[in-house]
Amino acid sequence: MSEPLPVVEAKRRKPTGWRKQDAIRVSVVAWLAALWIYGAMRVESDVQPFLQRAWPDATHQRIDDDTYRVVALDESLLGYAAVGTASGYGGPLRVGIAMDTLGLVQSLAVLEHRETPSFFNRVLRDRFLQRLVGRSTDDAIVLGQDVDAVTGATYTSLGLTQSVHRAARRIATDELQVPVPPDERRVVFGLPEILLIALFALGVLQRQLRGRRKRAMRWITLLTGLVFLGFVYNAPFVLAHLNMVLVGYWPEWQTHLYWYILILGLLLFKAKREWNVYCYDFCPFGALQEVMGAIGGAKPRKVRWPAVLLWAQRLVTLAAISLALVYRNPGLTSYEIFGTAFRLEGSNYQFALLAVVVLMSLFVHRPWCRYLCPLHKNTAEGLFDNTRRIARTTWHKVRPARAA
Amino acid sequence: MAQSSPGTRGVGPTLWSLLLMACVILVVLHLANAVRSEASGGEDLLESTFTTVEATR
Repeated sequence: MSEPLPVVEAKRRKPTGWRKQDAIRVSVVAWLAALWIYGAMRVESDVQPFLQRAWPDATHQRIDDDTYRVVALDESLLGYAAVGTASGYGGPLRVGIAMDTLGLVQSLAVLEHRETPSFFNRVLRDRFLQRLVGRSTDDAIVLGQDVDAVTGATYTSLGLTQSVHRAARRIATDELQVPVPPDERRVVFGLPEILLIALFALGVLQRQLRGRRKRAMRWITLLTGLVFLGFVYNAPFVLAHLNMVLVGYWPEWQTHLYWYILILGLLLFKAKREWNVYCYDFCPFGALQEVMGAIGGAKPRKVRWPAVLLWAQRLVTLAAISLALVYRNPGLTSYEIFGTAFRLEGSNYQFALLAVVVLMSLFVHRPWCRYLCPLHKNTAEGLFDNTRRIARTTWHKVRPARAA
Repeated sequence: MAQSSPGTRGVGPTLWSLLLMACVILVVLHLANAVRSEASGGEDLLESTFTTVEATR
């Protein structure tokens, strides 16, 4: 008598189709779509303030969208200005340069960027822009050749260098008609990329193992992730990566191969119980918490008000993504404390947050991942994973009606 | 309705929850701070990044 009950239950549920959670998910998707449109309508930065600052008493004649001729009041040619764009860490970087008639970069300024504020400030503090100004058309202006990167902010350094390189090159070839070194688009494929592929492979391999071997393999990947992806390269997966996809900034693959491998690995290697291999097996901050937990004997702890904490985690993530869409700045609201832990970069709030999380990790198993991380399955499933299921359900409901 | 299960009795669960709520507040404050900086950053960006050869020498 009791056997048919689940079937009856299933039959009763199926026609109702949408559940409360589905309505919430659709609302979230609609909300993000609306913000995306709003963000897309925001105007680009204006180059005029830079031109006026570079040559205050001159006339700026527009040659094309990103190039200007600058003439004095007596009509003599003073030089040229151009805007160069390249991919930074969080999205496109726009740099304006002012070049004299001899082909020397007299001044420059960043017109627009999408970098994480603490890392951008680090680049400024290291006087990186001073390394780019004063370059001439004879210089390669290539990171790693004649320009040194700022440690821990390689992508920002690369984006700034490429922006200046492109702007200078355009003036040199189109206006000054001088020969310039050939433009080589080098594919950046080094140890971080190799390591990332190896860690994904080991994460997948680890699933096939059992017992002590499995645990040993997991600790190897965790510690490798902690040391290399954390402390050495500071290249963990962050909300900014996801925001870049949502905003629609696809960085140049030649320079951002690491980013593509990371996103592809997350999508391809979905673990059985976790939404991806990365979080469980080699996330550097997850590893840091597990090391602390091993010291303090941490374990999963019961909490009061779990629903409040779950929704706080989801709402904070939604707020961070929403603001990134509005400002078209993926890195702006990336609130993770990975850079704070591995490079000692971040706001005072992030340092306070890091202190609380690290102390809690001694007693609670991965408190950041479970209750705060914007990329935990709590939020990823709640916000994105079921979108496909809703689309499929809707399609199956609509299709019979169309056929009829 | 709001009765706690046996596992959530005691000081521990409340302490963890309060600490986690404090973390959420810190995240919100960080986000608010980041957005405030971004909203007032247009002019400041030019000011803070404008670099000349003369100033470098």
